[in-house]
This record gives sequence, structure tokens and C-alpha cells, in this order.
Amino acid sequence: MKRKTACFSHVLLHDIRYSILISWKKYLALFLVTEAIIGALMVRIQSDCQLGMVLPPLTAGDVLTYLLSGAKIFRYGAGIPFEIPYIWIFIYLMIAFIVGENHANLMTSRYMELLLSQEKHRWWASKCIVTVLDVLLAYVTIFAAVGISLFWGIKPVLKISPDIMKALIWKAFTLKPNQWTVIFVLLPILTSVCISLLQTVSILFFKPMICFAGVITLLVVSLFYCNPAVIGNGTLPLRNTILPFEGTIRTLDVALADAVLIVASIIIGNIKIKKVDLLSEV
Amino acid sequence: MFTAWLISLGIAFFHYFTCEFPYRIYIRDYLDYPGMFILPHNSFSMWLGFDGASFYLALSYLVIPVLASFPFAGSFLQDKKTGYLKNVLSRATRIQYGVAKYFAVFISAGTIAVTPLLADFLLSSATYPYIGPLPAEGCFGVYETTMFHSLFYSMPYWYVVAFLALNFVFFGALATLSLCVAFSVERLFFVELFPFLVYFILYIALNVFNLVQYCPFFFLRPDQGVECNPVFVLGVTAALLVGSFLFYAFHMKHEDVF
Repeated sequence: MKRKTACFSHVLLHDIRYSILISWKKYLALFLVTEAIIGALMVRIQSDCQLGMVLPPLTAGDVLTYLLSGAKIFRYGAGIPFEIPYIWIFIYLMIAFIVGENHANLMTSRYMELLLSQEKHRWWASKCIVTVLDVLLAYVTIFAAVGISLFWGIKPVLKISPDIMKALIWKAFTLKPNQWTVIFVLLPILTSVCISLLQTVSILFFKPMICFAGVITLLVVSLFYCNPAVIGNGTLPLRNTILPFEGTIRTLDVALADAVLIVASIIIGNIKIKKVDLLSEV
Repeated sequence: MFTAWLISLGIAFFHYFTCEFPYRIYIRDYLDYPGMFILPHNSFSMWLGFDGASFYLALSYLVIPVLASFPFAGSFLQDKKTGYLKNVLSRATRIQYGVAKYFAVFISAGTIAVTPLLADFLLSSATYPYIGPLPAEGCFGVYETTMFHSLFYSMPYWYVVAFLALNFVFFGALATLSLCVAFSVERLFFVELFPFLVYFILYIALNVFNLVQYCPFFFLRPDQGVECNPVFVLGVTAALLVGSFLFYAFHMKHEDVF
């Protein structure tokens, strides 16, 4: 037992080291682009103020809300063109890219690692943990980018200013800190983990490029259909029923759908890995 | 190649069966209620290229660079890694191999890129009547200041051909960037995805700086949501094509294969 745990920790540490080793440039890119977006936001707020709008100083809560807000509900047939919010698609495709490249490379050396880890399900558990860590690290990077921008004069509080929201998202709203944390941070992280695990398990069946294209499709379809069953909606906080944007997404529904898919992904991946015949595959 | 082609064909079919086919019943309304409609639905108004209201067009222009690179973009790196390149170069010249590889990537990528638009146009033409677009109609986002506007209102089929050709060349040339990056990068996923990354970084950067008229995601779309300069568009496409070819040719010549 002790030996097996040691083997598992060995594989897990190897996966984490490998993941960070090949991904740090991508996290850096995520950090720099997020900084550029925050810079552009500050310029926009300044120019709005110069045009005569009276706006309170930006807070970290405003910036994070702006970065993670996603899109409102889209109504097909209302004569409005379908648009993709570029900040949102950037964040989630970067996560898909990081996860995709980590596992595209890891899977090719899976037989050696399988032998090292002794048991296939431990190997698969390690991959799932690394996927979750990838997502968490991406969010930490975004938060770090906001943290650095505090030196540019952004107030270090998580309070949302209704006036700023009106200027940025065209509607004033405010939220309690716990509501904000759930809708804008925890739920998107859960959904993001779910999408990433789906991507990881898909890589066991299809080529990584096809899985990446699948994630793009899932994200774009989520923008179009406001339905908790289309799981990308969990990353679009403005569609939550708590906010005044006529959204129909309830936190519990999304969390439930995500949890079911996370468990399903882990089980399917485990079954697939168990069925891999090492001798014939090598 | 077949998988990528099938997926891109799937986009066209899904669009046809969800956004075109159900509306065929309204063609009759134009005849039954004269004066209520300026024009009935037609092959241009229903085409994927002009359907900016559904998600299919945006999805196509996000997913095409990935699909276009899928068939052969990583094959050069695989040839290098597996040692196949050494075998080939002992039987053929570098020019023969290099040109064949370049055209394989270019043509496969271009073909996959135009498949959704072309297949959907053929399907919409098979279902809806041809009615030439009228400037007074106001159904299309092609105005006096947009690219190829005179072509659209005088010879609409040539407008479709022009955009298909532009998409073919641009995405073909974009996919060949993976050949260029394969000289210095060993990771297959990164090499295959490199054309998409260039396209996506441009999309993000130009959106951040509010310069979307220079963004391929917008200027390659036939619905022309933003006004683009045709000289710039054709210049960028040509520069991409020539630049990637010259870079690839130079490195192919000097690459130490053995």
C-alpha cells in the first residue's frame, strides 16, 4: 500500500512538473493579455470620465466582474448579429489550449507512466488532478493580473460599483460578496473544470485537435443557447437568474450538470484506461 | 483529412437543416400575400455566409483554422521525428519534397476552409430561388463602403466566388505557418495549432485595441459586419502566402536533416 501511494505521488509530481514546465509560457501569455485588457479598460473608463461621465474609481471587483462576465442572453431573430465576447473566449480557449497541450503530450508517454504507477486508475487519477490544477492555475493567473493592476490605481476591494457596471455592461447592478463569489468565481471554475475534464477524457478517444475544436464548438453553442444543459453557460455569469439580465440559468442546475459530467468523465476515462491493452498498444 | 472535411461539411448541413430548410414554407407567402414582402427568401439571404444572426458563421470562422490545420499541418514535423524525412530525401530532392509538402498543406487547408460556405451555398441554391440582391432591399450588410460591393450587386455569384477564393488562399496560407514553426518546435499539438494561435491572437489583440477591421475573423466573412479595405485584405493575404513560402523554402534549404 505504502509503495503504491509512493508510486502515485511520484507520477502525480511528474505530471505537475511536466505540466508547469511546458505551460508556464502560456500562463505568462494569459497574464500579459489580461493585463492588456485591464489597461484598455482603464483607458476606456478614463475617456468616459473625460467625456463628462461621473464614475467612481475602479475596484478589483469591477475589473474581475468585467473580465469574467461573459455575455448576456442572445435572442435569435431579434435582428441582432451573433457576437462572441472576446475576453470570455480568450480565457476559456487559453484554458482549453493549456489542458489540450498538456495531455496531448502526456498521452503519448502513457505506457511508460502506466508501468511506473503500477495501476491504471492511479495514472488516470493523476491526469484528472493535473487537469483541475491547470484550470485553477489559470484562474490564479487572472487574479494575479488583477492583483498587479492594483499598483496602477485600482482600489483593492471586491465591491462592485453599479455606475461602472452601467458604463461597461449597460445595466447597473450590485451583488453581495458571497453571491458574487459563487456566480463569478466558483461556478465558472466548476464549469471550466468540467469542460477541461471532458476535453481530457475525449483525448483518450479522439485526436487532441478534434477535442480542441469540440471545446470551441461547445463554448460557441453555449453563447447561443441559454440552457444549463449546455454546460458552457456556467461560465456566463450574466445569465444567472440572480442578475437583472433576464437570464434563466440557476446556479444549482449548472452545478448539478457540471458535477454529473465531472463524475461521468472520470468514470468513462477510468473504464477506457482499464481496457487499454498495454502489450498490443506498445 | 476526411474527418476534418466531414466536420466542416457537418457545419453546413446543421446550418441548412436548422436555419434554412424550416423556412422554405415562407416562399409561398410571398406569392399568397403580394405587397407584404419586398422579396422572398432566396439563395443569398439564406446562405451561411450572410447568416450573422445564428452561431454557425461565427463558429465556422473560429473552428476552421483548427480543422484546416488538422490533415497535414503536422505531417512535416512527424516526418522529421519518425525519420521518414531522411528516407524521402535519399530518394527525392529537397525542392520536390518541400514543394509537395507545401502544396499538400495549402490545398488541404484551403479545401476544408471553403467547404462549409460552398456546401451551404449549394444547398441553399437547391432550396431557394435565385434573386439577385438589390441595394434598396437592405437585407445584406454590403454597402457602398464595404469590400467587393459593386461585384455583389452586379454579379453576386462572382462575389461568392471571390470570398471563397479569398478564404481558400488565406486559410491555406495560414495553415502553412505550421510548416514554418515545425523547424524550431518539437511539440506536435503546438505545431498543428500554431495557425489557429496566430489567428486567435490577432483576433484578441485587434479587439482589445478596437481595430477589428484589420482582423481576419471579420474581413474574411462574406456578411462583412465591419468595413474593410480590399487592398489591405488582399495585401495581407498575399504577404502571408509569400512570407510563409519564403520562410519555409529558406529553412527547408538549410535544414540539417541527416
